[in-house]
Amino acid sequence: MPRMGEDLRQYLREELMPGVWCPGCGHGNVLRGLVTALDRLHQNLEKVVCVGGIGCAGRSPFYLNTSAMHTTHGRALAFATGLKTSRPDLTVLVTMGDGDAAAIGGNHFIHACRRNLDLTAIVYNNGTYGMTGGQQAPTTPTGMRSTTTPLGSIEPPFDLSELARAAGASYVARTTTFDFEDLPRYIAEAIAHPGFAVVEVLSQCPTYFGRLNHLGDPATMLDYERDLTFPMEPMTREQVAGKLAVGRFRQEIRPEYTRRYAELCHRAESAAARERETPELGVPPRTTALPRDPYQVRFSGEGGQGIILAGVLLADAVCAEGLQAVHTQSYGPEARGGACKSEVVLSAEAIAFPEVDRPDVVVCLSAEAMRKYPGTPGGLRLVEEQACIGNTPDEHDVILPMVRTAVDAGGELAVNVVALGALAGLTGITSAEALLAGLCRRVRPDSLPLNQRALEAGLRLGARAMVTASA
Amino acid sequence: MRLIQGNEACALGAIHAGCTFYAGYPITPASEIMEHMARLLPARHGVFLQMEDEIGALAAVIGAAWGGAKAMTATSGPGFSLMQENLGYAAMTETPCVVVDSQRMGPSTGLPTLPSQGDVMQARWGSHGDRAAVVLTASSVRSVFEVTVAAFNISEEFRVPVVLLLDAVVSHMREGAELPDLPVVTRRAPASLEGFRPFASTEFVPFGAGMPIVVTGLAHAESGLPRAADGGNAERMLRRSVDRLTTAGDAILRTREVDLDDAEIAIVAYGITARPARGAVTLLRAEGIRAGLLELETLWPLPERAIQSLAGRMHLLVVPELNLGQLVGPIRATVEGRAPVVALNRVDGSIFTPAEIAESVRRAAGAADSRQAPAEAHHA
Repeated sequence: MPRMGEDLRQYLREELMPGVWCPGCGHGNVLRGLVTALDRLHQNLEKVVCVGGIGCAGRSPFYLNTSAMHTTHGRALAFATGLKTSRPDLTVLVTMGDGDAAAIGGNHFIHACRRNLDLTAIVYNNGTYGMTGGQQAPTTPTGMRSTTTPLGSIEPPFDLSELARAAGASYVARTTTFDFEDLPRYIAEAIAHPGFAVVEVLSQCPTYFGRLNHLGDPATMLDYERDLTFPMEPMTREQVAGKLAVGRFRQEIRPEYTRRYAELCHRAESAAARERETPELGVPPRTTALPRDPYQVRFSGEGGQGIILAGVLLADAVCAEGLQAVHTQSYGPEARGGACKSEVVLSAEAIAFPEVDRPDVVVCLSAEAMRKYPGTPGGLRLVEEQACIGNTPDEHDVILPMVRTAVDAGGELAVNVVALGALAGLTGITSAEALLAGLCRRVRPDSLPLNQRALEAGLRLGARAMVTASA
Repeated sequence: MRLIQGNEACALGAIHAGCTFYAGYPITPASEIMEHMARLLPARHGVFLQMEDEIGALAAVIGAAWGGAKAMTATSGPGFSLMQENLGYAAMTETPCVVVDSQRMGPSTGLPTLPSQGDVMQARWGSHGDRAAVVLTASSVRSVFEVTVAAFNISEEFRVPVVLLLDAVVSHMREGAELPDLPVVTRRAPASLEGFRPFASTEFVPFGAGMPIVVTGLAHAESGLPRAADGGNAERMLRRSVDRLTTAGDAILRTREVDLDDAEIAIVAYGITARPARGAVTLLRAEGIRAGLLELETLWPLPERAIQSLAGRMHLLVVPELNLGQLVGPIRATVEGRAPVVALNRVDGSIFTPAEIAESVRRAAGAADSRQAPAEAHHA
């Protein structure tokens, strides 16, 4: 191999050399391939950041005369993802060992492949954990010894290039430290490739993998790499049995993440501009005091009935009228089904305690809610007619056909808005205008007509109930 | 005045503070912060990323911070546990960034939709090793906004990761709020790159800005280059980053006082618990008991001077917490016996009511008056 000339030494941070790599380690060969690639590409080093994980290969950033980020074990790609998305102008290289990339960082590796962000990932694969003393890696070939597999590994190894390809990397190549001409060529192609590029390099660890498996001196280990692999094209099936292919497995132009993101930003900008142009309905100032202060309302029912939205809409309306409002919610781990409540405290003063402890009104939309949440003595309880099946209502319950009213208005989904309207119609705690303004803010435009009909029907239902109650 | 959710106020605070990068992973009760950022950031040409897990989320945040962005993530207990290693990395590398943890009842998956204050010690000590830590908390929608802005400002000024502890109630609560126009702090750049040492001060140069920058979680020199076998250097660098915070004083230590001027009994509370504590003060005052509230918005570093000055004036301190007693220990250590300190604890996924806190104050005051050793009050 030719000696490294002065022109390549400019890419190295020689003050940190000799580094942590043992004599005969293949990682120096990989680093040489990397600086040769940078040289061929006339890369502006000011705009290059090399991100490394933990382990022997993870130290590479220190030895490159570029900006360097030496991160945590397995996480280099995630750090690089944050850096590259926020600074698409930078060339971001990621150096990882096989344990770093495929074991502890396996999740980040497959998702980086999938995302197709313009990063260059170089995996130094020596089939072992070198820095910690030669333990088994997810890439240790079956049968090979390590300090944690003294009788030979019984696990099948990962084929990293195959994994990268399956996970969606748009450039994938594998080579070895023996193939010293392919190594800089693939790395240069990978850096120039506009997308997520993986170069897997089989590298020798004479100190552990070689010694434990009697593979001889570093030069003999290069022969082992040569014999372990075959170039993709000219070989026959018989010749390649039990061996690893080397070569360029994929080089495809696919939509790159930062470019797609830039398009997304333009769409988001237009959407935000449209949103700003949508006029808000005015809300008339409030003229009446609350029936009690603080005034507490509890909506209860099943997850999926819009219980939380009903509370939010009430708080929103009263807030728009200039009073204080606090809304809290409580539901089970599931977003749908299960008991659910939504509580609102209203006051002309600041509200210290945010939850409802003595509800002035309880709205029950399900049988379970009816059993669970009794009304307060002297308070009001609004109960859905169907929830009374199999339940005995309390003497002062106001029972209303809210589900039926919602169905008549166009859909049972709007039962929450019917209940809200009924509550407002019955108690007068907020105005129809304030509720409608809130609906326009919080409900999707395509479901607004249904909700508007439901609100009007609910208000009428509540007003009729009030007349009945007064009579 | 507009009805705003706590999590929305957090996102709005981040945007106000100049946050241009968010990476996260969905989790109840923090997800709305992420959903709001997904809507707010792209329209402002900021970056929003949904990562494969919380480990990757904080890693991406730190990567973006070194690209020059003001960056944040938000999660809840299980995700916060996963972030501990990279939180230590952010501390070691003096990376400005903000991590929000909306606490839910643990341990483990626990009660995923119910509030807790169980992560107070994890926020301080969860990552291995000693480190500089700033932990803030908030009790109302408006204060979530204010404290989020403060979290960014402190992280930028002192080059430190800042943790903001919310909880399921504060995150999901909606209140009418006016959001104030607060001043914004941005990390300082050096006057010149000539001879600049990236880890000599709080001055910051991102990647790709005219000089090679080396960042590592190994112990390092002021140049940033690793110095992994020099214990003296490591100690000096660690002490410097910790001392930077302990001498910062009011720039970091946020407290609020309610009715403390003439008080004899102080409730010391933080986060959602400060709300019923305020209600308890009103109830007790109506009975003629002179109670007041010290609300801590900064938990770490602990506002020791405020607590000590209180301890000298009060007959009794009561510390309600939604955990088995996490902050009460350091508060007791700070009080140094100048006043009895009574813990009130609740770990059933509910918040305290004003009546409960008031009752525990009455009982503790009775015990203190009869010169009995103050008993631990536990929620029945």
